[in-house]
Order: sequence, then structure tokens, then C-alpha cells
Amino acid sequence: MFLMRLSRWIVPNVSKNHGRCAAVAGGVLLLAAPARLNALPAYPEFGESLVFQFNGLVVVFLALGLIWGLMEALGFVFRRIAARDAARALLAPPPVVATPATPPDPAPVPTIDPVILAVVAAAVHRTVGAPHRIVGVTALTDAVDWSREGRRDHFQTHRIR
Amino acid sequence: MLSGLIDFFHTTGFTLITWKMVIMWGVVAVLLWLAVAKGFEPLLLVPIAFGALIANLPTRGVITAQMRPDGVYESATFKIYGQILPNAPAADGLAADPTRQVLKVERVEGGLFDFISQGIKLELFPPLIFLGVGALTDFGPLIALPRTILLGAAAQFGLFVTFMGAGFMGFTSKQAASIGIIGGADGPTAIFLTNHLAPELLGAVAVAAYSYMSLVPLIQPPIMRLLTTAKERRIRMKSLRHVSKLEKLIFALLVLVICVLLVPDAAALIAMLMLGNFLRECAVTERLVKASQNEIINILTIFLGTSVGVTMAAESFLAPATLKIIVLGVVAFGCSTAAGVLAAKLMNKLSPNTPINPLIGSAGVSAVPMAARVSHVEGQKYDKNNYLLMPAMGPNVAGVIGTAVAAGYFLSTLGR
Repeated sequence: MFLMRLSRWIVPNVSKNHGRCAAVAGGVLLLAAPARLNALPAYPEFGESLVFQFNGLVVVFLALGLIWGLMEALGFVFRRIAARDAARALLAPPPVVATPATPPDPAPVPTIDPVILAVVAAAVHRTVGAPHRIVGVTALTDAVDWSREGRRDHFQTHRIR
Repeated sequence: MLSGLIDFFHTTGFTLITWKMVIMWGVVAVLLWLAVAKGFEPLLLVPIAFGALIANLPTRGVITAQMRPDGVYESATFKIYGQILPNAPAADGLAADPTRQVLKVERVEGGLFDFISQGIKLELFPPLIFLGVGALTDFGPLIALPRTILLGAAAQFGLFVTFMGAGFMGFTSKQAASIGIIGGADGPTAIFLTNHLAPELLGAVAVAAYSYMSLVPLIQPPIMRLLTTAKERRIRMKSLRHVSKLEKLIFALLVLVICVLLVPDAAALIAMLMLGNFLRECAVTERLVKASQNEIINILTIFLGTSVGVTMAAESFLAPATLKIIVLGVVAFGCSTAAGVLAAKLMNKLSPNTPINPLIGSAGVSAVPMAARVSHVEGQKYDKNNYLLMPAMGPNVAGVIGTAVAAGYFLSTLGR
């Protein structure tokens, strides 16, 4: 039962008949294996070969697993540092500005071109479709998203054989 | 006059053509057709095919090394002309050693590929190509999602399965390891390992490796679809976090140290890969990065391809072993793909709250970036707004490291 469930998990897109055929084929291969043992070179023998393969996989997983563990730890540290810097930036008092003798003209409040607002609203309506409310429109300052989008666009232009 | 013409005819190459050579011309034509007309890995298949053509023509002055019965060219066949200077003083300035003689070399004779092929025989080209690969690779997606590195490890399963399969088919353990490495889909590593363990198979292994790398979009999707449900293929992954420059630099050093400590035999490959990557990420060696990404890797690709092609002489290539290698190569590739996908599914079972799309598991075979693109394209067939390209690059570049480590393991255990 467990084996059946395991095989269904491994190969979900196969009918029961195909599954039986595969099981029979696997059994035949297993039965045929001892007959082919004498075809193996003197070193390694069958048992040695199994151990050799297992050891090889262990070495590969050990190397990459170590890198994984260390990178997780490193990532954790870097994320903590980034979060701490962000929190400090929020808590930092605003810079003291010397009061000029005559108050300057009030700085112009940045406004968004109504045309851009209309384009954004139309794009949101087209993408989301369902009833929605736009609560804010902010210019992206992080260039990563744009470069990622550009890369995605670039890859999509390639014809995949 | 007629006898003169007959004598001249005997000096031409026509009398040296054999039927095996003619068959190899057909093989060359197929390789060129695949590369030029179909666009399958043309950067490598064109030089390899040309090298194979050179090897199967009665050339003079191109390669003078004698071929052994097993198809390997002897390396030390240079003719060196010079004078022996007896009783020359020792180089360190001490008294002359009567047993020592110094040869003043005046001329070294050898064919063009006697010299160029030294890059493979001395195992120079694959590590130097890895320098360029490192300079071209962005490990950012892997660092942002480190657990995908395990998919690159799982995809090495095909190597070891094929090792056993090759043993069943009568190959020696060294040959079996060289054939199994095809499953890693990493040409330079395959050449590096095969040259070390089974140089007689170099041509067949290289052709199989590069051919299957170019056929990734045909080989992988059926296996990916077989092993996943439609629901799994629609899994969306979180956007990757931004990775700082310092993280990337530490990663390069970390990988180098860990891999070299574990498998010193892979040091040449890993060291050059990470040197190239460090040059790229440190952002202060722009000229070196450009050279690594362009001139160095391009020149070496020409030399590597033609040197590999030159080993495809009819005597060694037209053998039943070649056909077996072609079959075993696709088995290795298929098993690696399946193992990557299944490992991703297993990770989802163990960590259901942060699922990963199993389609990116297939990218654990190296074949950068083709395998990642295949994962992306397959994912988009089931969800047009699912962008798997960057998440798939993680296991894809992890596969490069994994294959190099596996090659180091084979070298450590079989290369002695």
C-alpha cells in the first residue's frame, strides 16, 4: 500500500495499467541484474559499485549542503542587518535645519501628472478586473524590479526550441 | 610523363582515404547540419565537427602524434632539435654536476594540433573555460534562495546511476565515470574528467555531452510533465530578495574553500570558476571580467572544440562503444532531470509552507541557462503569469558546482 502510494506520488500522471507495466519492467530488470554481474569490471563489483555511488552522492550533498547551511546563516545575518538599518533610519530624528531669517517659499509638493494617473488606473483596471480601489501611486526607486522585468522581457523574445 | 603523374598521385592524399574516413565525413556532415541548420550548440559543435573532419583527412603537419590502438594520441612526439652542452654549470650557481647535461633547444617540430591539443592533455582548457563561466554567472538567485542548491545536488543522481549502467554494459569503472558525467550536462567538466580517466572515449563523450545539452528542450519537458501534477506546475514562487555585493563575494570564497577541502581533485575547476565569479562581483576588475567573458572563453572554445574533434579519428570513434555512450548519455540526462524534479517535490513535502515549483528541479542539471529557460517555459504553459526563470537559475548554477564536485569525487577515487 505504501509502495503504491509512493509510486503514485512519484509518477502522478500515469494510468494503473502503465504503472503495472513499469513495475513488471522494473522487476525484470532487477532479476536480470545478477545475470549481468559478471559483465562488471573486476573493480568495483556490484556491492562496491552501490557503496561507491552512495558515497559519491553523500559527498555531493555534503559539499552543497554545507554551502546551503552557511548561506542560510549568512542570509539571516544580512537580512537582520538590513532590517536594523531600516529601523534606525525610521527612528532617526529629522535633521536640524537652521531657520533662515526670512522663511523661504514653501517647497512645491510633488504631484503626479494626471495623464500618468489615468494610465495607471487603466492598467490596474485591465489587470485586476474585479472592483478595486487605488490607494496610492508611488514611483519605483529600486531599479531591481525594472531590470528584472527587462530581463524577463528579453528572455521571452528568444525562441525556445 | 605518365609515370611522373602517377608518382605525383601517390604523393596526394587520395591514396590514403579509407572507407572509415568516408563514414566519418557523414558524421561530420550530421554534426554540421545540427549546428548550422538546427542551431544546436553551434559554438561548440562547429569546432568539434571541423576537428573531426581534420582528423579524418590524410593531413600533413596538422597532427603528427601517433595514435595508440585504443584511439589515444601519444603526447610526447615532438621532435626537438638542439645542442647538448656538457658540464654546464648548475642553475643555482654551484659547481657543475658531471651527471647533468643541458640541452639548448633550437627548434621544436610538431603538427598544429600537437601543440593546441596540449591544452586538453595538460588539462588547461576546461579550467580556463570555467574562468569565463564564472565571470558570466550570477549566483544571486542561488544566494537569495539557498535551499535550491540541494536541487543541484539531487540532479547529480543520474551520474551515479549511469555509472552502474555503464558497468553493466562492460565499461571499466574509469570509463563508466566518464560516461556518467554526461548527465551533469557540463561540457568542460566532462572533458576534464574523461581526459583524466578514459582519454580513449574523449571524442564520443564530448559529442554526446554537447549534443544532449543542446537537446535539453526536447529531453526534459516530457520527464517534467510525467513527474508533476498540473497543480504542482502552477505553484508560484516568491520574488527573490535583493542580494548584496558582499554576500556574493563571501559566497564565491565559501564555495571555493568548502569544495576544495572536500574534493581537492576538483580544485582546478572550482578555483577558476570562483575566480571568474569573484572578478565579476567585486566590480573593480572590469577589464579582466570582460576578457574572461569574451576573448578568453571564445578563443579557448575554438581550441577546445577542435582539439576534441581531432580525437574523433575513425579508428577510435567508429566502435560499438560510441553507440553505447550515446544511449547511456541520454539515460544519465533523464535520470538527473527526474531526480531534480523529485527532490523539489520532496522539499515541498518537508516544507509545505514555502513551496517551490518542482519544474525548477530539472534545472539542477547544469546546461546554463538553457535548463532554467526550459523550466520557465514549461511553467508558463500552465500559468502565463508565473515567472520561474530567476528561481530556476538557482538550481541551474548549483548544478555547475555539483557536477564539478562529482567529478572531483570520481577523480579522487578512480584517478589514482
